[in-house]
Amino acid sequence: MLSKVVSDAVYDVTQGDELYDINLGPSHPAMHGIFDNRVKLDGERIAEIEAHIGYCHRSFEKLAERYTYNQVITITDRMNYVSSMANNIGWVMAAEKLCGIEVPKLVQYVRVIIFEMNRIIDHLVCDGILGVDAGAYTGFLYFYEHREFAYKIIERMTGGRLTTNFGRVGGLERPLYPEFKKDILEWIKPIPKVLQEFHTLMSRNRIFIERCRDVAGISGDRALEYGFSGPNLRAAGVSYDLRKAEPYCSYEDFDFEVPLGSNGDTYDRYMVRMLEMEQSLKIIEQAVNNLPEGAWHADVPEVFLPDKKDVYSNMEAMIYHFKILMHGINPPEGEVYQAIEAPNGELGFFCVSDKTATPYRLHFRSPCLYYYQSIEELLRGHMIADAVLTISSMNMIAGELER
Amino acid sequence: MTKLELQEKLINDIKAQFKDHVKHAEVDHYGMPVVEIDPEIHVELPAWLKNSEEWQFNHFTDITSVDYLNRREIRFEVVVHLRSHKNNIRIRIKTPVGGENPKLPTLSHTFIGSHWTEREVYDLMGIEFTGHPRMTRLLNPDDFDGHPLRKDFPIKGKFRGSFPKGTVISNKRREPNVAAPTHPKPLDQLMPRTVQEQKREVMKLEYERKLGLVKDEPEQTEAPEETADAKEEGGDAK
Repeated sequence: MLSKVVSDAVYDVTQGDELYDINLGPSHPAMHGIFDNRVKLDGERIAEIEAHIGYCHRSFEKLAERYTYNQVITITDRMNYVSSMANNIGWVMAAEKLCGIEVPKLVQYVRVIIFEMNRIIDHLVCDGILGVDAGAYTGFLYFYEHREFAYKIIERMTGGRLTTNFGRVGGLERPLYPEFKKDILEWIKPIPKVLQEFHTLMSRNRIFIERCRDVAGISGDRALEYGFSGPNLRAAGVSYDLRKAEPYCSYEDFDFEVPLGSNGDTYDRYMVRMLEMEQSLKIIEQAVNNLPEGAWHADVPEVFLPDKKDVYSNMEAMIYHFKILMHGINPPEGEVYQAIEAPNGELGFFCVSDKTATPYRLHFRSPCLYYYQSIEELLRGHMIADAVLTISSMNMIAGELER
Repeated sequence: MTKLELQEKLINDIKAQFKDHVKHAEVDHYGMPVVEIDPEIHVELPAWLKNSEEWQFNHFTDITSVDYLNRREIRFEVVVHLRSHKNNIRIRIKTPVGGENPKLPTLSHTFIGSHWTEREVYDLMGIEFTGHPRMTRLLNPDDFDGHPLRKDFPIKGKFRGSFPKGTVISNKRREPNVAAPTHPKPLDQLMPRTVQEQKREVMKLEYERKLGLVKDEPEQTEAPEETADAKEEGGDAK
């Protein structure tokens, strides 16, 4: 493989040789976000890499201690901004688990559609950008047309594009718009063909394969010890998908497969994401075709805000409206850990409630943090150009990494 | 065996193994086994759970901390989440830790995944993990004053309004945290080698041998000869 020929220079500590220092970040055109990597190079090989984070830290956990349960949704938007709706609903589900609310079937199915839609968007971006980093710009632009269509649907659904703030504790934020079903089906129709086209562009491309294969591979056991999850863990050959392991939102109703890799290298991570999109399409199709009828929120008046029309005409609605806005939702005392299979991995919410309107302590378990700490080990000995590909193949997102 | 039975068996196993060190253990009503332990077995329990043949809690999930200021006698609580990939169950381990400068032994030798997350706990909550290879702040700058997630840290930060003219916020010089070289060997031996490289090395060695640049016998081959001599000598003596 061309990219792996070593330079002749050999670094020897005992001989007093010096390494070449380079700062890959904090603001570097090859990094997608604010990552500070201090790299020591021996020729073009990475002898040591030291990662520093914190340039995008916004102290969400401290903020959440002052926000009510529904206000926290706006924070989760800003974590993984590529798939913000999945984060919204993950948090809403954690709060529902705390309150002991079970949402109607329609809400669960719509949530499944949202999760899978965001998974496709997230993976499209990740694989597209991986192509850009490897020097193939075409696929990225080809993908983006369909991502834009998805954002149009999201815009009609929620009113926002990037920071959606969708979902409330106990249901959806608002009922679905009438053409929702038609739009979704129209959106997913051309995607299999697009994926096929992308496979022909990238997956069997000799240059791309040689840039990606055997780069920054990790074994399954080591990945588990590091706390990997999601597509990056599955690329290492460990069959762990929260949708199958701990089914939530009636994922057990759907028929889908979990693609696995074997080496845990950049190529496997890319391929697992590509195959997962096909499965997501399958799930969306099933969910849209079997979309049940019913209410778009659970019948929990003390938690879910009443319709604005009722507030002015109905006394109970007005009282609940006042109670929720002034005193907030007061879940029972307790601790809860709710994890969802976010596009990027296991997104966990650890919430301690003390029966007041705000969480006593809220911790976000972001998948990125666990991937990023491994690069110091994974990249040692590889080329500097592989570092860029590895970081983008792990789908590192600064907003989620540092919260 | 249902999931609940498995979880209850796990709780009983832990109680039997660590007897007095386990303060409280149960499956809570959200379906999560929760164990409250003494700080003495903060490392031993996760290590036992990871290495035990039956349980194999090998998936590191999370480590975080909670501050119970004015609510409990022991102020802080470190919360560890682990998952067993074999049995598909989770466990929450809670370790209360108090004092002016709370300290706990590090988990990062058992689970490498806690390397950065423990740094985050130290940064935001001020709990120090002894034996950690790089116990520095993760998210905040190194000269940051205080630990923001503590309940007595003001939510708007320590400074209000504008600074008076000529204020120096910090005089501490930020020193680079360069890790000590981790490799005792020369680096070229540590790097992964491609097949071509290995072939090239063998070819190079053969070529040098032909030219007589390399002595054919490395030092290791001398060792068995010596022992053989020693045996012969011994034989003579008998």
